Amino acid sequence: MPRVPRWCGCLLAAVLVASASGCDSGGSPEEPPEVSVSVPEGFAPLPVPVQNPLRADRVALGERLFFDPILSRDRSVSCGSCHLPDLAFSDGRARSVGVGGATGLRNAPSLLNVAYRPTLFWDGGALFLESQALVPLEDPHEMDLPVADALDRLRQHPEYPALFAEAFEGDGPSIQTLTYALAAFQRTLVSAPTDFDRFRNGETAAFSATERAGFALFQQHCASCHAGPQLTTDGFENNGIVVTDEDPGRERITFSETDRGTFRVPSLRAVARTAPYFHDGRAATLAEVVDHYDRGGEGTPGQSPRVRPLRLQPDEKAAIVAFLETLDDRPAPVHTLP
Amino acid sequence: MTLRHLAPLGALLLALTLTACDSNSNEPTDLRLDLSATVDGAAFAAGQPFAVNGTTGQLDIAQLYLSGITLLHEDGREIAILAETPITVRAQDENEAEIQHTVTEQYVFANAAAGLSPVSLGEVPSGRYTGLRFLLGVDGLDNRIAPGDAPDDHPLAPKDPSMHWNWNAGYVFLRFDGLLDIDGDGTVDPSTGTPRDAASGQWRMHVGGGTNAQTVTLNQPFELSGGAMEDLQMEVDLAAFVSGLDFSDASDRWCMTGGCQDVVDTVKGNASSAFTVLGVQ
Repeated sequence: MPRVPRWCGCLLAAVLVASASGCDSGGSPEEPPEVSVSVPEGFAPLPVPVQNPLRADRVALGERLFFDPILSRDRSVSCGSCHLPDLAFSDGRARSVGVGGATGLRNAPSLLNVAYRPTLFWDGGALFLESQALVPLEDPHEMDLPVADALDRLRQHPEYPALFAEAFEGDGPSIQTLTYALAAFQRTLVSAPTDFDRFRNGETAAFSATERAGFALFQQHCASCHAGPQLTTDGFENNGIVVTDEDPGRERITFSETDRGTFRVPSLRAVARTAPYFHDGRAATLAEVVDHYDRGGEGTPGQSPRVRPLRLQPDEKAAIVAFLETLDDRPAPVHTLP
Repeated sequence: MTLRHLAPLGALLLALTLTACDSNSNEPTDLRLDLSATVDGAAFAAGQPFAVNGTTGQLDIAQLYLSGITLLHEDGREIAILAETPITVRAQDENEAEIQHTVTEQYVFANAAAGLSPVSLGEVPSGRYTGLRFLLGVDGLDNRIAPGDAPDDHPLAPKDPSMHWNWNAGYVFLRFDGLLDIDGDGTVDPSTGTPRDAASGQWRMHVGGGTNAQTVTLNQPFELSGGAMEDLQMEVDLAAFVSGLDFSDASDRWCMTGGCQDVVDTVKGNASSAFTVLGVQ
């Protein structure tokens, strides 16, 4: 029976069912056991490519690699350093800190439900979970390790070669097996049902009166971009934040000036735990985010017409924040006063 | 003269005709593309200085993709070169839907720094050709595949140094990494590590993006005699790609396609003159 990922007990109620007998997934006893992931009602079935099935041994290997600093130049940083389970796989910093204290340009996004994202990164620059894995690995502001060096380390490790061979039918560490293992693990990072889901399913008592009012305002002002059970269209919008040449947003990907200042519309699942906000972490709290949209953005060139002054009352803004806090799949943290 | 007397002569004529047919190459050719890289009229060597655009440069990485290779037969036929073994991998279509996609093109990945060796193009009809056409780059959906899904020995599989912009969807079609002499002392200068830094000798040019794949047509005739393996020898002058760029301008020395379309357009415009068909062996 494959072990349960270490983050599961403290974070998500997503149930990982390892079909060790092969019966749960309908497989034969000869097939390696696979992991099945429960998803909230309203979510599509978990997308799993035929090239990289959710084999339990592959997921376990990916989890170990995800939290292992062996993949950074000075062995000080792992994927998990910037994607902490307790913070819905974000890191609580405005901009992530890599090896040697290097900081990049962007805020580490949550990895919750990342299997559902058609493109990755704030600018949609990667199309597949597998190929995105090489970016933080080689980025000098993150792990700063050439992939060839990473593979050398893994090949010389006392345990990894055997783990790769087990998960990949005899194949050792390679770009393909390394990225497949990391992606397999990340596909299991799925939200558990929230009060929002329960409300959507007809449990009106799941929301307080304030949260209901916040949800109504959210539907009116925010849901054209933060739509559906995933709370995103997965599109790219200019939300009225001033950008610089250093980080022009999706323009870097499409080479089109019309995409200057556009960034991914993030999912709002577990948003209360993913502060600070926006692509560069400039908004410290959800209240600041709501204020930004209430002001109608900063009037940047190319700003989406959807971002316009809302003229919300203070209690309305508070209600929206209250609603946003219902999107978490665990109770809000208890802060102990000194 | 009776028919009996004519029979041996007829047999002789038939034999001669068949022999002539053999030498007229009805048999296909097992063709390879033998690409060689040059700079400044000499064989290219990684890390070695050469004259380029009025200054001195060196390239440590020089890699490119060719695809859509089509041989233009004298009789009007266009012989498209397809992969001997197509591969099926994930790709993302224009609606951002993940699909299974079969790569049928024969890709040629040329890593000039590592040394080039002939690439099999498979069997093609023999005869006289007026030239060939190909794409410098990776076209269409092939440029939106999951590179890690490709077998290790496939040209589109991940490379080291990389030919896939992992921060961006798609392949780098032409990659140059090296140094340039910017102070005019005749030797290349070091990189400061800062892109487009006027004080940096860093030379970096990565051309990609779907609209920047460039069709190259070489109207340079060659003949395939057939019946055996033959190498179509072609030369690529790496320095020719950057002809016309002003390396005294830091923005011409550092181009990752975004924000430097003028540099990319210059390279695209130079692509046809960078390639020369040398002949067949």
